[in-house]
Amino acid sequence: MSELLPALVDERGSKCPVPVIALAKAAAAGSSLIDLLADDPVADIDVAAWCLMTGNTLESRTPLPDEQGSGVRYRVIISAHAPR
Amino acid sequence: MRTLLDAESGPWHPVARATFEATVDAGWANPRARYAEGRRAAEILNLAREQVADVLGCRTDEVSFDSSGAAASRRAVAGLAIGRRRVSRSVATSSVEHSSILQAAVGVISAGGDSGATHLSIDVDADGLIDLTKLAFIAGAEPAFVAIQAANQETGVIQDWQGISATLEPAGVPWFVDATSVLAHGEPPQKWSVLTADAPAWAGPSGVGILAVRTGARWRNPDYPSDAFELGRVPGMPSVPAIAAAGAALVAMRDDRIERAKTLAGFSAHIRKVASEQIPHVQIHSTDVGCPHITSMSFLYVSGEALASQLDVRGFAVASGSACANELHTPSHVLAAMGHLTEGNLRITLPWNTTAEGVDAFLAQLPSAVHSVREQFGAVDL
Repeated sequence: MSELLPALVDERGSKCPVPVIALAKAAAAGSSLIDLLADDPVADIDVAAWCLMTGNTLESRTPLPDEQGSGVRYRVIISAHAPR
Repeated sequence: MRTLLDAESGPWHPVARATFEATVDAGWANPRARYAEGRRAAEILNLAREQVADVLGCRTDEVSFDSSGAAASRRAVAGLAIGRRRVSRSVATSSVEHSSILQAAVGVISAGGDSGATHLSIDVDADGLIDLTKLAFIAGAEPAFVAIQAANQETGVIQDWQGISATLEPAGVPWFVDATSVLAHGEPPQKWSVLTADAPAWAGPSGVGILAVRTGARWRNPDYPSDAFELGRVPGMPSVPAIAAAGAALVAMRDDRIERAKTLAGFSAHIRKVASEQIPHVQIHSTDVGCPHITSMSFLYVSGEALASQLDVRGFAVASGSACANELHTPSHVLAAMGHLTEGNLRITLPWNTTAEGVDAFLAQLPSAVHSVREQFGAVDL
């Protein structure tokens, strides 16, 4: 597997369900590795639930360093084809 | 034509309305007054107490009425924390209790000012059931009490009551049970130390809650010294007409509960089947072995608030338990504890008088309502 540059999806400032929709759109557009940035605390649960429901993998969850503002980086590996 | 799919807040059972109206005339007086009108009010109040005790299977003098289930739960928590403070300053709750109980638990810990006191939280699995091994471990730490609901108000998951009492009893730890979600259509739990419930759940009026305290339970009135209303457990003159209506509704609902539970369980199973077959990307949080009237489900790429509004416009009153419906934007702590999807949540609680026509009308609209909200979010083809 070649080194992949993750597609960056910055949804800081938007509320659920918008970050998960953006994640799904990036997956549907063909990205196989996505970094989703989100600061709605709901994303913690719903990104994991999305991965479970769509057969993809939440590889890591990293709080962003303070100088980049609040929020979390969710690195998602898209292993399943875009669902239905 | 409106279809109500949110039984949490009513509507009143006809028996509740009739009893309330009759009691406004017959039972308006202070039940502690010595004159004839007061004695009459006291009789009516005690009849309601007997009705509740009969349904709960406890002694009449163990039943008190409070101003809501949430108020009763707060008194339950505060009173058990005081009653057992010589044994322990820590309290334990499941992670999926009603927010009034979680808030009260945090409150007694911080008010105690004891740095060693902790709020122990008991996790649930993906089905929402508490882990009995973890419970045994927590019981061994001898908290002042353990709060575990009879069934979950959001998902309808029913806990293993026998497993809970068999774990807590040998350790001598009181079980505080919120029985609100099971009293409408099912049997109540036994072997509790303190039980609370909220009357609207069984089509009684709002403004009435039950606080039942077992004889010998180490519960103390947190407002001590207090007045003598409600056997010294809840201060202030109670609303006798509302309490009479709540007691009458509870008995009326108990008397045909087996048949009704079967009907509602059939409707709920049908709703879950149609939703999972006809709507893409749905996660169902409730199962056939839970409370017969409750179905919680979440749809991807939908805001629960927008979906509930969409259904409202189409004639359906449905609640959303989702994060997005909450102004604080904090996730539903119940779904979060289960690791389930919180966005796009609908919480359907079928009222006692739900009809097949109402369910069919709802199911005819639900798929297109979800689709239409997904269109708003530009998320149809995902």
